[in-house]
Amino acid sequence: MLDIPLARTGAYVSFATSNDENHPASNVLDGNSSTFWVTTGLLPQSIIISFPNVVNLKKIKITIFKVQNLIIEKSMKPRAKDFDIVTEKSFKNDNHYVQESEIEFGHNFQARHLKFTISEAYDSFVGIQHILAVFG
Amino acid sequence: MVFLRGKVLVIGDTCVGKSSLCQVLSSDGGIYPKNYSSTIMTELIIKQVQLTENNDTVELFLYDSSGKAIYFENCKETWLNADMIVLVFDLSNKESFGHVKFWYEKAKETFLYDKPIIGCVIGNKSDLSSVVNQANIKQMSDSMNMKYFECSAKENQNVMDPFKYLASEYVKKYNENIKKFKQIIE
Ligand SMILES: Nc1nc2c(ncn2[C@@H]2O[C@H](COP(=O)(O)OP(=O)(O)OP(=O)(O)O)[C@@H](O)[C@H]2O)c(=O)[nH]1
Ligand SMILES: [Mg+2]
Repeated sequence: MLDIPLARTGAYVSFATSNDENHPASNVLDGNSSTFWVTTGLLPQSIIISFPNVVNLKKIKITIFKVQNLIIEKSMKPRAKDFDIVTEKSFKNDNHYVQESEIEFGHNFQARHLKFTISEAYDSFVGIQHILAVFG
Repeated sequence: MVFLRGKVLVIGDTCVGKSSLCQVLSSDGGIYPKNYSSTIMTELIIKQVQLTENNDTVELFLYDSSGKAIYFENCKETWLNADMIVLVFDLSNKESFGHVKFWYEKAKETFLYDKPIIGCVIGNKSDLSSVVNQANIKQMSDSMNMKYFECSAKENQNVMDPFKYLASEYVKKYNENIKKFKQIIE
């Protein structure tokens, strides 16, 4: 399931704090390894992935560059609001490889929207290559 | 064509003209505060800088910090996650030049890990006669790897240049980061 680009499941980016038209936020869902989203300066930076309806998620996998701290929140509401924190992750600085992380949600994890916030970073600009999901 | 945002620390001794520079910059020369009004903690001034090359725009979030010792610890808290620094001294005040290195070291502590520092040194009040030796200025700026600018907030002389320089260095860094990301995933 990880191999199916989220964009093909109807998921879409409903909000992003940075938008360079050459590296748009929608790149994180396209499944293409040579595209990514780049933030264009200042912290925090956020991106919200919305699903067409409430989905069951087993886990997500995220690949990023130069992120130090990432907060993941979810919302069950039709509109992207009233988020609750799901988890927070720290990353080691890496100049040569992408930072990879798999987040297991356990049983019966449901969400309509997922919000990813980069609260700390190792550089002025960070990148997100993929956000992949395994549905439950 | 990109639109970037960056956090800039404007630091240096009290009365060197940090707030005056920021005011003159943000009003495009329209406002020069004639009377000194001490900055309390930190003031945020936002200025968009347009670069002619590629039509890039950088929105600078200038953190105009007080140079007074009593505000120092509180000011430092507002310095986190900065992208650039501007070190200001007063050309007619030798002591303020002597303290540039101090401000640099303090700002550097808030730049975590290997995040490179983009910055410049400004000798302000070029309308007054300088008491600081040019060779010393050059040596100090070089030692910090920073470009040196001379301006006068009072006469609106050269005020834009250092900020244009920062903006273009910031865009350069952005493009380098993208290049680096592309290399990593190849
Ligand atoms: N002659 C001259 N005076 C200047 C210039 N820039 C600022 N001043 C004067 O210097 C004094 C201090 O200016 P400020 O801009 O308030 O100084 P500051 O660095 O912000 O001071 P703090 O907020 O206390 O850290 C004021 O009286 C200004 O009018 C300049 O280019 N030339
Ligand atoms: Mg001031």
